[in-house]
Amino acid sequence: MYRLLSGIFMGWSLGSNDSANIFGTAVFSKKLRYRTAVILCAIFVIAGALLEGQRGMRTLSGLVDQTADSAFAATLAAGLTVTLMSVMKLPVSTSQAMVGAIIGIGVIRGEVNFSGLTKVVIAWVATPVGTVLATLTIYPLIGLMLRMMRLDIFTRDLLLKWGLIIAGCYGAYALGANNVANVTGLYIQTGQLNAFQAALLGGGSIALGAVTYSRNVMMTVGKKLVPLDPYGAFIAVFAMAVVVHTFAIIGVPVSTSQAIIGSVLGIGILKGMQTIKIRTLLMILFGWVGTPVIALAFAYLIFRFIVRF
Amino acid sequence: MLWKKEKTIIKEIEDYLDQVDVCRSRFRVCIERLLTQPQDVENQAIVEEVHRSESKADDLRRSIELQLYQRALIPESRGDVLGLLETLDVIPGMFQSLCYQFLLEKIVFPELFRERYMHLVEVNIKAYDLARQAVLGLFYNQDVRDLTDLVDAVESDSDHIERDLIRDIFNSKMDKADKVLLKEIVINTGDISDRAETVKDRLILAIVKRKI
Repeated sequence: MYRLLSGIFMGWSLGSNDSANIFGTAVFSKKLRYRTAVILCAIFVIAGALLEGQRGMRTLSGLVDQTADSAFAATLAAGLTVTLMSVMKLPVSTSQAMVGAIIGIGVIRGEVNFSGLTKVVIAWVATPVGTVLATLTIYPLIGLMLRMMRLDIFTRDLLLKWGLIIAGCYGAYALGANNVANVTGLYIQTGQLNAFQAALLGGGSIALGAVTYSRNVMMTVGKKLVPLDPYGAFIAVFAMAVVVHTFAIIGVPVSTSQAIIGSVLGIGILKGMQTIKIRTLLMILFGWVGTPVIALAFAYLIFRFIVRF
Repeated sequence: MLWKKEKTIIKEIEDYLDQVDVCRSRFRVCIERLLTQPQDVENQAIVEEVHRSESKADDLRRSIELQLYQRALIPESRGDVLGLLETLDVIPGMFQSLCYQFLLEKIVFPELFRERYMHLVEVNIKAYDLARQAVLGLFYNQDVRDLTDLVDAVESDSDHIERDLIRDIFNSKMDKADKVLLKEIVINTGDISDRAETVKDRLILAIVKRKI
């Protein structure tokens, strides 16, 4: 059973990092208390994991046949990568860390399902592109509706506050549905957990990360997004939730960090290209390349020298 | 489309603006009287009326500020509304100060300039009226761009009148000390429209922040 601990660790690090993408703006702009945000996040992450988390688990399990040891090593390697990236204050893709770790083990064992891998890699590129497109569509559409409603200052601000909270809850649901596969997906294949147990343990550990250790990252992400203005922040979170949920339905785990960066880029395109920073683009590129490579290296080392030893 | 607490605060803001209007009307009457009958013994009582209406407006503003915090409005709307009210609230203070300045410094405007000075007062009152209307528009989903443009135009008018008046005062054969006193009165009167313009600037910021 100790092998499950790496999954819980992975879920915890994911929750502490990715819940910032969902409620960072609302908390930083004081539209929502931190405590309320993490409780909502925990509830909706678990709901998403239980109701729609199983498709992504099947995709991840299909990349490489897992044993209890390899599942332990992959999950631990991904968890370490995510934690390392968090310490370095870099945007983290847990999905890419997990896939990198699975491939690392696959390399040692000489068995990688490349057709499954192609689906995952296409999804990585499609995530920021998808959120850019979603933002370009949703932003003017909801904007037009709001303008037609001709709201006074109080009603408008109140509506946006609730918009941010509802989008955040939807984002948390999408995070649970999409990313629970990264946390405990591999344990289904090894027979250590059934689908319900995996979803419950995965969702629960993500929720635990959100509740216990998300404040700092939440503030950092909030600070980065708040200059967008409340409407922009609402659209950014909503577009992220739509795209991440869509990928959960397709069954491909993707990164909420990269999804939200795509949303911000989309708003940058709408509001003027000067808001787009080269540094942000470089971070996406680093996320695509660096995270899976580091996780692959970790998994290789853990599996070859610790688990097999 | 409004929740109860927001509705209550808007009602209180309306009451506050009505009270500033009372102060504005008394100020107008008071200045007219101080210009035409500067030595009248009843002037003190009239100036005190302006003071009382200003104090009442102050009390209402403080009560709104408390309401804004106690009723836990969204910080964003609270900050903008507080900023607007505090900027606007300087204007009744200006009405009051001008009246006291006339009274305490025993200002006597030469007949030659009275009409032009009264015109300056009217223009500045108009600037306040427009700014007030624009502020209220923010709470009633109104397009306030025309009003804010008008505030700019009226403020510019006030500047012209102010400069011409000061120039003519200093070209006249009055005592130099009297000229300086009148100049101060003219400048302080023109400050009302400057403040109305500041209110307009804050209002535009609040609107731009929410522009989609």
